[in-house]
Amino acid sequence: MAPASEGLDREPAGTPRWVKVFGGVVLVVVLLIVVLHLTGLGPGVHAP
Amino acid sequence: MRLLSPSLRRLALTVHIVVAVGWLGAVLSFLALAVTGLVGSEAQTVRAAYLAASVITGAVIVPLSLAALLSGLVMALGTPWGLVRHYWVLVKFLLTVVAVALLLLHTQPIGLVATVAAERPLAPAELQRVRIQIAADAGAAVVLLLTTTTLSVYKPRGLTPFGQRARRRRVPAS
Repeated sequence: MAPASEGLDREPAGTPRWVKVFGGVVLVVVLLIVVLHLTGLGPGVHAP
Repeated sequence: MRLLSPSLRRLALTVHIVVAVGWLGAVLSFLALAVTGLVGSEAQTVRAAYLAASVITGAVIVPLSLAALLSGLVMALGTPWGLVRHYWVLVKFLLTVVAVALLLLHTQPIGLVATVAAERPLAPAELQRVRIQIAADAGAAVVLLLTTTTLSVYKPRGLTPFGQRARRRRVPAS
């Protein structure tokens, strides 16, 4: 396994692309869940 | 927080890997039981699946999730990585907090189905939406935990604004 501190001082500045892509995916998933809940199609029921 | 010594750091890392991977394994087992409970045709198998899922949740998944969160915090705060300096650490921490919160919230439907299953056989359509939710949540948890595991292994680059300021303070521009 690589040392835990490897790469600490070689980080590029600015928001990396993977963070933007990840944020977009999370946003889409959250919106999908909200829409499913609002339309009553999602499971989202805790008790009968 | 003071940085951990190299030997303590190895110990903390070992604990963190064991509990985090154990958590993923336990959730995979839970998913298998939830799917069996949802699509199983034999009443006894369905009952057994939900009773076992309830036991796994309380005795394994919840303790391991809390241990993973705690040991992850120790690893982040006790090493130069920090908690909010690197995007991968921050994203992993947030995903873990979300996973633990959802898990604690969803012990209620699991307990509900297990309580019914302990009393009598479940009809195929009984508590159907809750049973679907339990299986769907377990599937989502597996995806989430695979994501955190992948982040830990690849450690994608990227400093948060806080991390960039901390680096500038440590290495002043010449």
